[in-house]
Amino acid sequence: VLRQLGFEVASGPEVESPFYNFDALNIPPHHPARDMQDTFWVQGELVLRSHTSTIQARTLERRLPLPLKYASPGRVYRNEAVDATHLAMFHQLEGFWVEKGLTFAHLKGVLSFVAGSLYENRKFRFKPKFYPYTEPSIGLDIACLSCSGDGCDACHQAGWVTIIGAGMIHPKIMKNFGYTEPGVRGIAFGWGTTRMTSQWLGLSRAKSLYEQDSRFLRTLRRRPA
Amino acid sequence: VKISANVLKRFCVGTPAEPKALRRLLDDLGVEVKRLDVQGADAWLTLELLANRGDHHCYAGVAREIAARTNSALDLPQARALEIGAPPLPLSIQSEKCLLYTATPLRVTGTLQSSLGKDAELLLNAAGLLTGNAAIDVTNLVNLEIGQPSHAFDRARIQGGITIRLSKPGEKAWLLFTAEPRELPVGTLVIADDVKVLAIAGVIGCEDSKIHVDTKDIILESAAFDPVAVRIGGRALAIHTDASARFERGSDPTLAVVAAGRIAHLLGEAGVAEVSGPLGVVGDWRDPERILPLSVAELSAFLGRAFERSEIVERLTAYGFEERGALSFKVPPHRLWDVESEEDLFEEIARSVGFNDLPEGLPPVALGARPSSAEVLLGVADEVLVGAGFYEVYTDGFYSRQIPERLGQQAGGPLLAHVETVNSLDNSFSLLKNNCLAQAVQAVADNVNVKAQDVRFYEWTRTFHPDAASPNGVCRERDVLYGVCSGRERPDAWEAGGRPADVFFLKGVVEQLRKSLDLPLELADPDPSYALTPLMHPHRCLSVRVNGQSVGVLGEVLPQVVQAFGIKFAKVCYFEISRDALLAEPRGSAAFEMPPAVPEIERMLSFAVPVGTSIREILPLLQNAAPAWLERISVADVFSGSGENGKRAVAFKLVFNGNEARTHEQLNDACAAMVKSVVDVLGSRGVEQR
Repeated sequence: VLRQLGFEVASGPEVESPFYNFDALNIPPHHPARDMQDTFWVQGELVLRSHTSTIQARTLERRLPLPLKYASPGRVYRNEAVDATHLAMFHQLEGFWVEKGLTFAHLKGVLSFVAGSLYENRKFRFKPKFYPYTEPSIGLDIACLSCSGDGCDACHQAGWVTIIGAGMIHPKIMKNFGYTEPGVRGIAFGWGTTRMTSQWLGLSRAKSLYEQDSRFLRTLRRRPA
Repeated sequence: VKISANVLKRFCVGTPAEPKALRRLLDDLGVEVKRLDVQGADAWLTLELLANRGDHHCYAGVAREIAARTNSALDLPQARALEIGAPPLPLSIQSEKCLLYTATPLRVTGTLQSSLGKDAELLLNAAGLLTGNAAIDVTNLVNLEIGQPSHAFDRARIQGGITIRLSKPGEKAWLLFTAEPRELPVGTLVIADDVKVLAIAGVIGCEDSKIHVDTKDIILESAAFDPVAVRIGGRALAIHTDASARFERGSDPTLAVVAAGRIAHLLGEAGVAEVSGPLGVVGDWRDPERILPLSVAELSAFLGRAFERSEIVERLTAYGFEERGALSFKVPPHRLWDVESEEDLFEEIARSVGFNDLPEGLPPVALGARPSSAEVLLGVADEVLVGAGFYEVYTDGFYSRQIPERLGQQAGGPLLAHVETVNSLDNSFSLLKNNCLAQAVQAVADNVNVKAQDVRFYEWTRTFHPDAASPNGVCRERDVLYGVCSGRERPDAWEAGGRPADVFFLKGVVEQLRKSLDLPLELADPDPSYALTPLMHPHRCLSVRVNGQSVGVLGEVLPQVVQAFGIKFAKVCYFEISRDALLAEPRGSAAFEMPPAVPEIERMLSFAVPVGTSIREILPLLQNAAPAWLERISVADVFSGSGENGKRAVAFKLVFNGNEARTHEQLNDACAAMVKSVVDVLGSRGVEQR
């Protein structure tokens, strides 16, 4: 889907400097995301990346010629108690696009294209969100796969499930990496591919995807739920 | 945060009466409703609030959003205007982390064990905050109403004055709802009298200064603290309260005095207490009157539609922004902590319009992107493995400290060096994995334990290796593909499915990878320097190499390793190959080769080979003496039988290509030359043609 828009794949280290995981992404000291409970710290004052947005920071730092269009899928880590729906390691995908003339309307357009391609004929909506690395931040909800928006136990009666978090790359980040030319803006978006896969398959336990149970794997079908 | 729809309507008449409509509106405003419970004539909404919107932590904040969107009036609760003057007791700020501190004296005129009214009880109860003590309940109620936490102290229990300072080494505080005093982390922002700590600033009060049933005089604290200081204090003590949640997100400098007035109003109205002196203030934090300019052209370009100046003013004014001329806007005091730039104003206007009602469209895209060579190759490898019956799996990037022991690693073992996590909540996440074998064998064990003996898994994963010379000074990361199998090769086949998925099966898989990816992979003798080689069966192990360099291993896992993971009877075979080697540029072999018009020609050569002479000595001699049109040579048969003088009979199959017709003479000459080359060199050791 993203390749149709010209996105290329980028990757980066999983053992990461706090600079790329936090500071470069406008997550200041003492932000909740920096809590010891959320982030795995490893010896040498490094972290296990808690999101794939680190690739955004590393790529912006390289000051490659515009436009930049990259998608970075990969493993991310959270220092959380593991249960059926919370994992210490899971998968995310982040996409970002930096080019002169990008607007909020373009952000919505890209998100609609992605959601429409992945979830054909599903209703979706946008809502305000907050992420330290985007301004404004936006969330994309799709109508619940179980109830189509009417509200059911699967969606806690909400009728909607958030699948993508996104926003215009925060001006502080753009400025910090030297993207100061008027009109040069960035859009960024990401989603948990683990969560998305679980939704597609109708799984209530995302953990099943990480358990190497051949009995379970034999029953999987690629057809979405 | 849980709020009542009926109470919300009292704050803003524009609140939709129908619960689902209210939910839709709040979601659209960024006040996400996680749960809606309709109870009789009221509906309760459980909200998930955005981390930057401390002002949403109260009815007034949520109502302000609705009022701005629906263009309806905001009706804030009544507050008494308090006289500001000499403080009721000495006040002193000794840390810049306290921005503003007010103390208001109250005299109890009625019974503290009083109700503030049914509505107040309902709200407090829903929030789990109802105590029955009016002096305490009123502080919680006002926080729910307008989002300013406050605290009531028993005046009689304060010795001397009040100082806001950082805690000292060894200092203790007896926190509310705890059994005994505890030592505070040094540098915690505290409220203290001349003798003891009265409260942790913005987080929680203390037992030895709290309100009692017989309290006669109250000192009401209403203050503003540095958000980070409150957060550090709360986290260090592992205490999270409604007050800390509010302060951590930044408070409103104008609300400290307003909240004191509102509390005085409510206690007076309930006949519980009256103000007994002026409100004392220390600290000079005031609304800094932040002014932000806004460009109509920038806004229109950013949001993708034209805006008129009048519309901009109308929308921002509805959220409390004041235009200060030339399209510059003063940020309202309740938004000081998150509205800092022009882009923040753009967001306000976007939210006012509604994200769903703003235009959208794809940017111009000249061309899509072709998949990279590595992506294509990765897909090819996936196809080979899935075609061979493997399932792709995902394992964690770490494991417990017991894993190296199970692999039988002794001191100095190559797999003992790990990168360690320093704060993992679970022992299973102590070490970043430096090999994939342990998790692969564990996966087989887990399946065997549930009687799923036929296992074929593969994974693209990453290992971590301590390396001070790496760019991060700690470790280098290695991307690797591994596969593991056990049980039968083709368990689902109609017939011949019982053949074991053994090392020969894996060898075939790797050879298929090599062929499909068109890579110069070689399978060679085991490389003892490769870390996993010692964990493989010495006679059922191969090294995977590129240009002579080891890039992987293939073999049957040692029985003692398998047993260490609790597998008693099954054999486990494993391969791994460096991802870099697998996804290297292909050799560029032709996509196909036309078969020759003439069939290949086969000949057999048989030698009697004495014990002590290896086939590997004969093969190079044959190859060197062969004509260029020899396609391949292989060992067709080895017969030890009764033997001729203890010799083995070894038959080699020669295949000559059919690119052109060959005469018998040509073939015979070629074979004779090959035989001669062997006998000339090895004849003295007893090798002879049979």
